[in-house]
Amino acid sequence: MNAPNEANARRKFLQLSGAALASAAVPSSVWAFSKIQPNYDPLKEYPYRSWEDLYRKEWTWDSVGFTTHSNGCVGGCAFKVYVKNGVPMREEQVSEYPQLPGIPDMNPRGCQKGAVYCSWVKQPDFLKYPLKRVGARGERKWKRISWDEALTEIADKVIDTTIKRGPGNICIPKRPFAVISNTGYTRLANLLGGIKPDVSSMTGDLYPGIQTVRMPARTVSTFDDWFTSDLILMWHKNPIVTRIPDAHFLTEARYNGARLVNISSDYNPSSVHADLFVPVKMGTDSHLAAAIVNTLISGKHYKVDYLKEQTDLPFLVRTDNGKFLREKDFKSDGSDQVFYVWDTKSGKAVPAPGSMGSKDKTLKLGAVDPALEGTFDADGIKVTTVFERLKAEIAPYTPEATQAETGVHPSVVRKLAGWIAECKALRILDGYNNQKHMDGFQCGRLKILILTLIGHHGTTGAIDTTYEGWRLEGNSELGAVKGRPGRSVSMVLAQWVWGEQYRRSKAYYDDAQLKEQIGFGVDDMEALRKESEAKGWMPKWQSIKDPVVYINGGINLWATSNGYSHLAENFLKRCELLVVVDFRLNSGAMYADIVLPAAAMEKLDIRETSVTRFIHAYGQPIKPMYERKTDWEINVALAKKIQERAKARGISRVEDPEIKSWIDFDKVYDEFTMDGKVVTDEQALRFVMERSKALGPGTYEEAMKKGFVAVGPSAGKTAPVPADKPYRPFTVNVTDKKPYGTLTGRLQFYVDHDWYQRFGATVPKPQVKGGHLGPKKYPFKTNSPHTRWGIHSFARNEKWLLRHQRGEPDVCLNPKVMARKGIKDGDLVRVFNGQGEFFAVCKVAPSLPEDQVFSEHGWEQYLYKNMTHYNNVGAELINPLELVGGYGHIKYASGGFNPNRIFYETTVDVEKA
Amino acid sequence: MSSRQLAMVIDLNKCIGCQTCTLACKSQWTDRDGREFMYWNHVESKPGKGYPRDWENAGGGWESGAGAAGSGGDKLKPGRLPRLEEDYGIPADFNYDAALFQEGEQPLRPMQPMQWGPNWEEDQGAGEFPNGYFFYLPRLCNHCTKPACLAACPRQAISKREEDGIVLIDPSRCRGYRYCVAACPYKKIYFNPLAGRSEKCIFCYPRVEKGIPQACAYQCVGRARHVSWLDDKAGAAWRLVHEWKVALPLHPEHGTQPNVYYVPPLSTATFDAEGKPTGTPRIPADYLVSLFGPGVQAALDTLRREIARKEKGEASELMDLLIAYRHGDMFRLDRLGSQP
Repeated sequence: MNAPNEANARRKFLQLSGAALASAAVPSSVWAFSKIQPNYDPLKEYPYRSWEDLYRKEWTWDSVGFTTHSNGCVGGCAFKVYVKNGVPMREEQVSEYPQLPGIPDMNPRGCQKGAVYCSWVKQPDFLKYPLKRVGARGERKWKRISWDEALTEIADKVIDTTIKRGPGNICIPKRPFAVISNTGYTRLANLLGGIKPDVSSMTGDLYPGIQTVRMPARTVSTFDDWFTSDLILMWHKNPIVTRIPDAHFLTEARYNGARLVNISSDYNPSSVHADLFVPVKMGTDSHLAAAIVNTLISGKHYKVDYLKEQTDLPFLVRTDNGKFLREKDFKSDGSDQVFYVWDTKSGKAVPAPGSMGSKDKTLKLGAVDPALEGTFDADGIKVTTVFERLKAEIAPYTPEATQAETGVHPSVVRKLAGWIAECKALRILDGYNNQKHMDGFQCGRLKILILTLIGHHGTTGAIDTTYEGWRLEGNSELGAVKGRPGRSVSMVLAQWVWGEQYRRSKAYYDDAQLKEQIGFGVDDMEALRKESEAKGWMPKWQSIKDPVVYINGGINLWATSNGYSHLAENFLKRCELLVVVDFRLNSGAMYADIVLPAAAMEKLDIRETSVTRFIHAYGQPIKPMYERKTDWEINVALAKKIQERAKARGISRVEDPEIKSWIDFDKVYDEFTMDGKVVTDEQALRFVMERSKALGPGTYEEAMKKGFVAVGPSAGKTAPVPADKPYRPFTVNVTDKKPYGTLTGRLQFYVDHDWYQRFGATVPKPQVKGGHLGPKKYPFKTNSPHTRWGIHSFARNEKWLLRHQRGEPDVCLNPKVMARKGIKDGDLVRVFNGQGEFFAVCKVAPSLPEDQVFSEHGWEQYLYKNMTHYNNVGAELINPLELVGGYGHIKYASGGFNPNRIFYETTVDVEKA
Repeated sequence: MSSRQLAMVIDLNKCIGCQTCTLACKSQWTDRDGREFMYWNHVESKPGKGYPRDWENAGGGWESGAGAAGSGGDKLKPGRLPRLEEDYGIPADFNYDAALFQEGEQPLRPMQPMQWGPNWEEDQGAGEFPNGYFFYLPRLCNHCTKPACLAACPRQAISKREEDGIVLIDPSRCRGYRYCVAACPYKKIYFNPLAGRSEKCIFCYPRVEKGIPQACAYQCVGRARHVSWLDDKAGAAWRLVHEWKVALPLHPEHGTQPNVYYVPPLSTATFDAEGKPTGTPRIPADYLVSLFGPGVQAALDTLRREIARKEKGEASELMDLLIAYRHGDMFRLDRLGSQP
């Protein structure tokens, strides 16, 4: 099916070259230069230069198009594609972004993965035709089928399943990382009443801790804003590796006088460029953050006026029950969303403006001067402030007291806190690895508290989590269908149930140890999950539906999960038709029943990440090759086939009362295409761009002509995008006194929800004591962060990139550990625990602590011996604080708030295989 | 001597080890025709054996002579040829078809075992945690003013272009004797076994002739590379090499007078046994001297002094030059530009 590769030619070359290069040393006798009588001096002149055209001819092409490679990457980079004889030959960054005054420009954008894309796209794993499995699932026996056969089978199964099992047993997880490609699946899922999983929590990329403080948690400055900072903390983030196009803003900020701090359990490539490396023991960052907060508060390094206006720290809390003082405490019909501060001028409790229940939609305090500290009597109710509560609870976490936990010397904490106290523009780069720890929830709240205490949030600084994408109304309009909401779920919970992760985690973790360290065990987590679903806090679809038809668009199934083999086995039991749409046969696709080939670089689309002010074009430098179709075309074709089959079978409307909706099978295509308005890629893309305020008419043409186009001011979700400065979120809350989207309307650091009280987490402070939660009998922690050699599994099997690694998955170990275990660099090792195992070659890493098994993520399952996988050893936990809902802004939100995937608590052992 | 010399400065404090330069070069010149194993440009983690393996102990260059430090003598030092599998590493192919489309459970693997490669020791370095250290060293042909390769070629096939100092191997004269490979102390010449001749970095002369910088430099996403005429006093090379003296050649002791220069790396302090920072940079000073010569300490002192000025809010021309506010300003290739 795929053409044989060039192995024969290559083998011939190797034989030849091996022989030719066999001689090792040149004898010194060859340096007899006196024997040579030159008739010219090649250092001065060279008479035979006509050969130079040889290399000049190698730098020619027929046409140039544009594309971007932001698949799973937040980067967004404009590339030129050089095409020769219809074949994409080479790419080079566009390097034509305009400069903002006083800020280094963004040229060039694009990394080594983009640079070799033209090579990768020609590999045999790139799909050419629809495939159907003819053996058992995962057996790698395929047959080529036509689009019509493939679509007919899928369409009939969608209809049959809905009729037999009821609506909601079609599940469509997707993330093809381009606007219309992605939204096509949303639109189809809505029309079919399908399940729409939150893929952000699935990959462990949520920040639910920070979501309790501000809305949205996931937002960033454009990354050129890093240059404006004078202190940058790279914390749980290794931007030199993971933010390659923007890393120069860090090194340039350093040359501009900024201090760079890398807080990490290992000395990593970002530490190389740091002024201070803080070697914190893995997973104890919440204690380090608490020690910094402690030091700032005890040294009175906080900005009182800012805290009074922008935060809930002056809000009053009842001392009897720990709840906020609310209007309903005074009158029976009072609001439970109106809160109070103590006005030092009038000497009484007064309602704080700006909360969800307040009629004053402003943060302006007017004549009121709230007390930050003290205890008061509010009409007979004894109250204190959030700040007092925080001070009391953070008091034990001094730099000295936390050293045993974190391994960080108090002098380092004090030095860092001193830098924080004196800096003018603090930036915290907060990576995904934080919330993959159980204590990441509280650590996230502590990190944003550090930034807030010194008054830099929304003013001179920011905490950059991850991009939320620019606001494109046209895209929302394209995905939404009136009255057809579909079914959103937390993918972590869905896999917990469908993949039976609960059973697996229970077998692995020691409940007694968990209860000692966090106060609850795996059984409690399962009970709390059910309670949360019963209360309507988290969606319950995983408990009452099955993924009978699973249409997976642009996601590598189970690669970002845990227990690959266990999950696949249990999940597949519930799935009758697994369809994978992708541009290549990734590991997950190997289990599919039908594989559909998506266009890779032949796509017409845009990428909307908000780390730059630019929208990037997939400019279709070549038309789809072989039988590939773009994701949008595939969704259109499937909708058409469903409608056609429904009409042929006499099926029309199916009611869907669970979500007060319906499915019109005989009109799916008409509805999908808005009666023919958005049939082609260009129509859909123009619809999005021309109907979005930040883009508008003309921007489609501009993007296709230049490879990128700048957004207008309205693209920013929490602040306007200024024309002459980098974008920074949440500035309007400070300048215009606009309330935040939280319950209190402030940057909220107190949560008086029953469960937060129950788990001792009303204020930000460490939740876990005693280090890792994995069974102590396994001595090593697992660390599997993002890699520079891939975007998740994207490009992880590219041959040029593999040639820059060891050619197969590797595991890094500290040399002392290797000596103890009798392991040498290059040896195959087995990493294992009670849950599973994987094999990889060992690579020596002097910059790694002794307690870590380090293996960068994204490796495909088919790269491992015995189809093992690094996530086979991972075991998940659920933090009940992330199951809460029904509390103002703290509620289920896809891509915002639901349980993040927590698996960095896993422990393992390692041996020579 | 050529009448003018095009020079490159690579700032190791901006190099992020991403290998975009390596793959930009690869896709431009060496992904075909027997060049697959060659890396005209690569980035290696230091300290380490590097690429090709142990190149720093493979000989080549000039015997140290009576001339000024770094100018070398007039006698070539013997050198050895790196071995394909052990020292360069073969450009392995992979069994995609068998691993993905054929029954069974064959893992995806190199079809020939890999023993070495251009980035084999990635992020390895030396030292002991928490005091481990490493940094990135991009390497390409230095287009030397006194090229040992040129002198070693019995065919007179290697020349230095009069107009820009680019050192080239004439493939029509080269007979593949490989004396140049042995003579180059940087081991940046490669023998093409399919063509039967040697090849190396051509400083992207087809691009340079059109005023477009080298692929490795122009595509450097860390913005670490400056390119200008060495005698252009407004150009970064002259300013960093001669005016500020913060850019130094690699292994000047070989006497070839390289025209690629490096801004040496700063590093964060080590910790003492109690975990307190010592104030001593973790990359040992003597190691940096062994790479970049005795000028390295003064260069690092200058960098630290100028950074300190910026920290205090003062101006620093040097820092602004290294920041490079406009990518385009990192390159001054126009021949009609500022003359000496």
